[in-house]
Amino acid sequence: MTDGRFSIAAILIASVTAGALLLARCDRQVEPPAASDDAAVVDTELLAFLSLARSHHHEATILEQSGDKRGAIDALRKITTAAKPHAGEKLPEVEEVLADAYARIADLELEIKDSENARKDVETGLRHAPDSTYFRGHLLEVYGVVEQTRAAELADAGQDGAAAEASAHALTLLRQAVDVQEGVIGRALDGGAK
Amino acid sequence: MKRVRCVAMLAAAACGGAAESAPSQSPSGTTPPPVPENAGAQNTAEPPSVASSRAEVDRAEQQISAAASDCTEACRALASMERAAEHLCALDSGAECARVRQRVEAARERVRTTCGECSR
Repeated sequence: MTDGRFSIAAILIASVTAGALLLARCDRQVEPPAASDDAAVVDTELLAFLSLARSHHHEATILEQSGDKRGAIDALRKITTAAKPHAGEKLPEVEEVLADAYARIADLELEIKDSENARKDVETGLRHAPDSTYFRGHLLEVYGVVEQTRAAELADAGQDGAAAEASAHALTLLRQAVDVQEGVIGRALDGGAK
Repeated sequence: MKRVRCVAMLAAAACGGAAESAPSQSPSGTTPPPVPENAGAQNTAEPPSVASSRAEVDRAEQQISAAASDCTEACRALASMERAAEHLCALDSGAECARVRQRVEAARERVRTTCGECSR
């Protein structure tokens, strides 16, 4: 009986310790070591930023559906220019939101035949998605289309050499996009880390 | 968000762990727990078997949620892969296009087998 009580106490202590360690690990993913009050403030900032991003995506969707693509781009720019939570640190959630916003901006710029700015924005977006994630794959896909469009424009302008270069670059980017997304699917369905 | 998810999972795991440590008459959770005749009069707390079943439901709910999240990720990656392949084939309709199409078909089949049809 005493042994049994001792075992239960040992299990309880081990569980509480493991729980505390897990919580500490969870905290570290988003926040720097901070007092619990500060942590709550940081979370609120992050959630506010994510909410703001969602709102601007909705705004962009409404504008895009009404045919105002420039307005949609402006709405999305409010995400990329907004104050970021936890300034000076790269939060994965914020980086994903930025990568996603730049991909959508570039996509819209392509639709209004602004391939030069589309190229700049997709390159900026890629800096926010260095790892092999869906967001990087999507940016590579959009970049490939940007280069494909640019190749066509250059060919129309009689710049065959530059057109061939852009076309070869497009192929490289599209191959990379296929590779990245194939990996993302594999990891998602194997239940591994994304 | 990861932190929120992490805390939620930890909380659920803690609930599950507590329930598992309690003696359970129905580990599978598939049969209704026996109700003692005077349970209400003696003790208002849940019988261990109810707590255990509840924990199993929580765990199952968590697994479904995780699976749904993985399928969402797989579906959007597949859509992007399909678009990239279409553009690649528009630039080079030769052997590379055929190989990429095969890879896309294999990925599509894999996603379909695990997740069903992706919503468009």
